Amino acid sequence: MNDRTGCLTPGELHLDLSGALHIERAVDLVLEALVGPVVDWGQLTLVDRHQLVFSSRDLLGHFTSARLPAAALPRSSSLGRTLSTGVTELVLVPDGDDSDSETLASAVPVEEFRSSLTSIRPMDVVTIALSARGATYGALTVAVRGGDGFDPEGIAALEEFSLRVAGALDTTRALAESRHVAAVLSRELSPPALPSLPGVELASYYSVAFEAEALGGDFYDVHGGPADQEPDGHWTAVVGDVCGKGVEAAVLTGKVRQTIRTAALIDRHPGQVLGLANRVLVADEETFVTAICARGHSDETGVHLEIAAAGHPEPLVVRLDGSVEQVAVAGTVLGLLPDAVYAAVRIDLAPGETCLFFTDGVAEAPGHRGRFGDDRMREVLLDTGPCDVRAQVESVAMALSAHLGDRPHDDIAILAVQAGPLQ
Amino acid sequence: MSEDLWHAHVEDYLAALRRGDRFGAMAHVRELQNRGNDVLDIIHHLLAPAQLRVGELWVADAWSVAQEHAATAISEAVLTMLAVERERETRPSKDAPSVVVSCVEQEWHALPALMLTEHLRTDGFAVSYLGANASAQGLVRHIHDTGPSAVLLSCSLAGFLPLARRQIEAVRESGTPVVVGGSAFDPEGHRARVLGATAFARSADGVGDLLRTLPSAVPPAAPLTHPGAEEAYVVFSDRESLADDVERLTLQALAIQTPDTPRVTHAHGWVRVLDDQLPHLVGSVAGALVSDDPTIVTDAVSWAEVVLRHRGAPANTGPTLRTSMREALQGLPVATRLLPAAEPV
Repeated sequence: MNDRTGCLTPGELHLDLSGALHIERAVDLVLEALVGPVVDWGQLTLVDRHQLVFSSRDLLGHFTSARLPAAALPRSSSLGRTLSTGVTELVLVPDGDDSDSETLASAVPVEEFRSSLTSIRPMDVVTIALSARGATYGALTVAVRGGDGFDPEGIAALEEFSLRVAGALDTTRALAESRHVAAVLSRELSPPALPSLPGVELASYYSVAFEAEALGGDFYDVHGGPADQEPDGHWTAVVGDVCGKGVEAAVLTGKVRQTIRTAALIDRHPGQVLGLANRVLVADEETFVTAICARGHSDETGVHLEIAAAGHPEPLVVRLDGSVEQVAVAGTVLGLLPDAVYAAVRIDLAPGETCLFFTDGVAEAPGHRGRFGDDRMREVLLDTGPCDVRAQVESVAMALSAHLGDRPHDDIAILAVQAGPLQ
Repeated sequence: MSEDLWHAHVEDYLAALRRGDRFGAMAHVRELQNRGNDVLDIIHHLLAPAQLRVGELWVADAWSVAQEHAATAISEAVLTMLAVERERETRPSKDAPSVVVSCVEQEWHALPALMLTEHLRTDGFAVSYLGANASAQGLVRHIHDTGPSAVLLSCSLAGFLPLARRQIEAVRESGTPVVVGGSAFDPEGHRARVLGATAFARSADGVGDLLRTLPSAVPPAAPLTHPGAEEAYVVFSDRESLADDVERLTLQALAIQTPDTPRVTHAHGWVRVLDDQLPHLVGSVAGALVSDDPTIVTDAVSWAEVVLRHRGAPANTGPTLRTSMREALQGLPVATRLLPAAEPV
């Protein structure tokens, strides 16, 4: 006598998928709501491009998953019919039927799943379609011990539940699709990993204004050097700030970074790089960018930098004696004047000395006692003194974080270049 | 290797840290590797004890805050190097359960989370390490993108427990189990339970086994209903101005001149350290309220007392701090009860 499914009412099946935005997690929650309270076993099938993704759960709470090529499932099978027509399919698995049973395989094509089901006999199996956006994208299959078939109310209750599941899961699927697109684009637009340059230690910090978008209008980049087959071993470091925030600004940073990379291939002199980038950006009427650009190389005496700036905060240098110097360098914002000329200043770093480039998000950071300001940054660097470049950047980042608390802030980027120790 | 031998290694390693000598520290670790010690040996017997000593040396004013920062950064770099090398040698198997290790927002103590990450990788887990000061939004985004089987949250300072609670809520909303650990929690796991964590990890050992017993999906966290749960967030969001009040009251009571800019005037004295530590001290009240554990405040005040005494603060600074905190928090009945009136001296 099977009265489990028979006494089912839709209201009993409580399910909240609102927070589960990851598809596998949502599938787990659906099966958890069903198996135990309502049925003895459950399987959820999803069509993923040319594959079928299966998840199952038993009464002991074991989850298993498997994949099969979609072509491997006969259209005439119970599951195949539900997936292609959207209709509900019923199967009765009689006593003594083993895991090789074709009857069961018709609804449960994964052999591993079937062998975990041998203890439930006789068994009623029902498969209900999950449909949205005009297509059946999956199916819910549940099994109960019994053999007397399902009563119409039980089937209706399961169909009603599946309808709700289909809507909720499809939202998650749609979200996963756009998340995938966003993730690929955001990898392109996020600051790249820092390269390894002989005789140079690099460290960076990056924090965006709009956390939810994870992308911002500040950027940094380091390229060139021996690894890029640069004949004289020269490399380029750049930090910049595109007007605007969030993903719209990030799209522009991608363009500006690429322009600067291309310009640097022609001539790494920072004045030339900024001049060329300026001409590209002037043509693009509404893009204004502040940037600071350095050409560097290292030898046995340390690192030598030529720095040019375009409307950007001046960098700070931490000397070996612990003093902190501001590098006086100025120039017009990129994208404003077609004939802007950018002059470079030269800075030499002895081993252990550091030059820090940063955007105005650092000084502008709001706090309980006012803005962070240049003075506070200088004070932190004086306190930290000459030491490991990561510790220097982290000290500033920690002080900034303590200063900000959870206040909204602008995008922040810091890039530090240290002359490596004499080996 | 014997305990004594490890002690000697810790001292040598500390000497390199004291000099800020990253290459020396790395060379030392290399030598230990060449003698057949694996990453977990090095974490357990060298990096963890050394880090504990670094903290003690700072408390005792034997090391400057800059030395402490540099030492921590070097140990992090050493551990990251070991992790990268090992990842190159052994990749997690395709069906390895995936977990996320993250520090609570605004928490910068990354080493415990890094060490835990290595433990879990050794134990066959595929670990995403989100690092220090991971944003709550970033963590949730990562969960939605990757669907991990569990999240491990590390919190070192009890003052950040209100943020830990928010992150526990956020993780559980996604149905994902959340395990908490770190020195912000008590060894019995009381605070972890109150905050709604799925499980509590006392140490990195055995976390793998603990993870295997977790449910695959969890319901959202139940709301906090104990007395003080609401006050916790009042104190937490006002902690900077409350810290200012406590500082003013404390300095007045100790008859110290209160200049407008204490940071500059007392460039290297104990007042400067007080100024730095007070937001954490007030935060500890919020931590005690949110996790329903008054010992957090008692411990935090005693700790601050020791730190300040080592830096030349007057003998009665501790009781004065307690009284000032009590006064600054008046109007918040549960918070005030955490700071009983000082006994007459």
